[in-house]
Amino acid sequence: MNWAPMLSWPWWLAMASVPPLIIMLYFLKLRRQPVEVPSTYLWRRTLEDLHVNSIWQRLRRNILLFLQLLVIAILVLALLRPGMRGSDTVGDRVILMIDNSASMQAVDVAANRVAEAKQRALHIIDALDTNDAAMVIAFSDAADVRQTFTTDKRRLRAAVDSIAPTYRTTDLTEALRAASGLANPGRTSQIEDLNDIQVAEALPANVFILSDGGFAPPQLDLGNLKTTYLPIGQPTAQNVGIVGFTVDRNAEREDQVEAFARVQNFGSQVVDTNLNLYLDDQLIDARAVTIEPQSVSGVSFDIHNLESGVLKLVVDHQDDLSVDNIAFAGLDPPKVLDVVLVTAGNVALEAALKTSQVTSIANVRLATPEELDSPQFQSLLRSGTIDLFVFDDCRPAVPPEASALYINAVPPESPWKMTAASGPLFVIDSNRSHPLMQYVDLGTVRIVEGSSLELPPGGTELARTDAGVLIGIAPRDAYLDAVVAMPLNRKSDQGTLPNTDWPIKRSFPVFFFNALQTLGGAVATSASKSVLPGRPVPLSVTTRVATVHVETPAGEVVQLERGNTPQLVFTDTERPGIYRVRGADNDRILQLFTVNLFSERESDIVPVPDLQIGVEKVTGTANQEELVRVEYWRWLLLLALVVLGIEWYVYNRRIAV
Amino acid sequence: MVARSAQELLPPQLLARLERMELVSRKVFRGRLKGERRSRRKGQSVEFADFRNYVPGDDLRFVDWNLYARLDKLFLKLFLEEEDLHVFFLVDASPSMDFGEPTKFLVAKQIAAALGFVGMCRGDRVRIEFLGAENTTSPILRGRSQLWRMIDFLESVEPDQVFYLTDAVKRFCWRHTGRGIVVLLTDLMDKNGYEPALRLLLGQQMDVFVLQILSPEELEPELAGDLKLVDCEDHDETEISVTTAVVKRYQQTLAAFVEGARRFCAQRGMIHLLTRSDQGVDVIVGQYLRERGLVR
Repeated sequence: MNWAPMLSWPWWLAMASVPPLIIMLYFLKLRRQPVEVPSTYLWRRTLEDLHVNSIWQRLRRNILLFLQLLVIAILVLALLRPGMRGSDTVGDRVILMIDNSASMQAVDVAANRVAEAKQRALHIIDALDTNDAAMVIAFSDAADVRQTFTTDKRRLRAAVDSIAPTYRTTDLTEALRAASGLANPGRTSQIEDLNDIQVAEALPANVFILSDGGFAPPQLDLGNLKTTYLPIGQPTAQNVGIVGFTVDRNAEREDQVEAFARVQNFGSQVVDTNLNLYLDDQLIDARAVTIEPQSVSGVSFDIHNLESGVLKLVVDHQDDLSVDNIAFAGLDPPKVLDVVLVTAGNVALEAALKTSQVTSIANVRLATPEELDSPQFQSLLRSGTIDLFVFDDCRPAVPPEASALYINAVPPESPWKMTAASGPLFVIDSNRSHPLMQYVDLGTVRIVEGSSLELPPGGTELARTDAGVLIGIAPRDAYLDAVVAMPLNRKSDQGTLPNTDWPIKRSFPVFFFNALQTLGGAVATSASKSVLPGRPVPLSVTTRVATVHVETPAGEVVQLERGNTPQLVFTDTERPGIYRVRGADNDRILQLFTVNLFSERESDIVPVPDLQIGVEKVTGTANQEELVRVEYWRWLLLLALVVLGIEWYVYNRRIAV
Repeated sequence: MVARSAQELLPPQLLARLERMELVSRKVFRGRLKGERRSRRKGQSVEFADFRNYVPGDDLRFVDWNLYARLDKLFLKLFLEEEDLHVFFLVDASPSMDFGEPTKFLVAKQIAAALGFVGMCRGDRVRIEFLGAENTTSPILRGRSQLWRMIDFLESVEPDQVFYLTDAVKRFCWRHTGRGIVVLLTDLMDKNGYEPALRLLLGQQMDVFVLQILSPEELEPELAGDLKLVDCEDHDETEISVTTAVVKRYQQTLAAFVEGARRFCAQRGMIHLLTRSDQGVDVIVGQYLRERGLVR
């Protein structure tokens, strides 16, 4: 039995004064009308007869008082709203799904929405019968079973207590699937097959979804799950959030960066606010914006003389959800690549790798084909410290631990195949959408002779001549191999002659610059990657770095070991902010990435009244108390009415003659 | 004034009927003077009683000569003597009798007057005594001519003080040791009980008639609500919330009280008669008491 008093204490004081008042009224002597009679002899005897049992008589004399006090007592009891833990309404098997996504950090309810949801969940746990089993699932973009089915309320409470808000987006599907799998163990796989009988007894369960409903409708058949949706949050919640923040280098002016932000007002009131832009925590720009309710405003900033740094955009506005009021964008520092060019001598190639653009991002070393077999070069091949090898008309015995560009050769120990040379050739097609072929026009290139390529599985055709594939690219483990199936120079009796006029075309240095960027991993300084909280980030750091340190916004440093995997993936991206990737041995920032909550669903914090799960519509239950409490006040009021009726009857019997 | 009061006490049309009545005593008492009633003593009335053997010295006038002629033996004829009768009327003059419309006291006086007149007409010795703190006693009334004296006496007394029935009856018994008829006119509402008083009268070997007079207010009280009942005698207050149940209970108590008095009297050879004060004296004496054998 628990209570939910309906009055505040001044009212209770007023209520408490009623019974003494009634008793006082009874203490007031009844003003009796005096009547003279011949003798009170018989009247006294009559009263004596009536007063056989004096206690009962005293009681009888005050029965009206007792009845009135009883009515007041019942009313007080009714106002206390007694209720039992209504285990019948909760059910034998209960699944508590508590939303701890970013929107649940909203502070429109006491503390925040997660705290409110946890409190409600604890109420439901309190309402469970001893033999009722429950399970606790916290969900954001992934489901996290905090406690499997148990009847141990202590463990359930501990599981609920352990739930903390996250910055993640929301997806109910996984949580529902987990619950559904437990509730419908023997689901038939073939509905049409009548002989396919359920092997296990279905165990229905009551699912309580404690959420604000900010997620896409899950497409799921609930089966045995009886779903109750308890919306958390106020419908009047106000929020202004940044739903997009991108930084791009101006294509024409290298040192100019454009930052563009989209700010949305999810509330019902017009918001006048300032957007403050910080570069490495220094305020560099600010804009005043006025955003109409339920509309988006776009703001752009132009920033000069910026090579790298961290941009932070802050909405200077107090609202119910603060997570989305800050957005980060990072500008990666330029990388310096180590490139080895193995050639017997090629002026055009050497010139292409000596342009100012290339030298700004790469150190190019030269080697001769004769050195290929030397132990030093062998160890260089395997060291992984080189970002890109360019093999001109030669190839090593084993593939290098790096990406490689082969000219008139195919990678060793691989399914690449090249046919015999033929010519002349004309380029008939090129894949301009590939980064390697960006701004590369091969239409006017003339080729004396060349070969045709046979690509390994997963390979991509980049350019085609009338003989076949001229340029192709294919992944090899964590690396990429690109092959140009023609020599740049052709040896003849007259000495070395050009095999193509491509080196004198503008596309030639562009192609090799693209190769450095694409194959060597050198991405020009530009906006660094932004991911949603909790999503994994593949790090595109050079392969020669075996260990990297990732500095999180909280100031922690996470060490990542490459091990056998060529690709490094960072997963601990819970917190929005800027993440700096450094090599283990030096302080140079290898890469920046940001984690931002750019989610309109999360920023729209007004709770959804109803949920659509599959074909079923789950209406939000506003008051959970009523759901899990068996109320008695109605019965008490009825009882008070009955007692009042008895009182009336007794009073009338007494008065009537 | 007197005439009006006399009419009030004894309506003239009743007087005519009363003249033809007589008081009935179930016992035969020895009177003092020669009256109209048979006596246990043998005397000189015309009514034959018995024969006895002649003994020398007897009055020869009473020898039955016819028997002597037939049997040749002398027998004396004995005749019943006729004597007068003592009739006492004890009227309760407590304040409680001063209730009802007409008051119980007036009704008691009317009954006493009517029955007294009956006795006087028959040559009985009638004495009326008002029971009170001090008993007020009338002179002996005998003969029709004493009617006005009786009425004057009745007129002169009003109920006044509170007394105990037993004490008043005791005073009466001290003064009157002779036998006779006692008619007690009272409501029997004595908080100390009526039984000792009746036992005293019984001890005098009198023929006792108890006429209990109750007013309609006592028999069917029309009370309701929360009341404070005040006793008119001792001003005792009783707070009561009168409900139908209480009234019903009161009537049960009253019935038990009357039945108790009736049984008490019946067991001791007394006659108990209950009279309503609103019945009218002609009905009470002319019908009610006649039917119950007090007069004929």
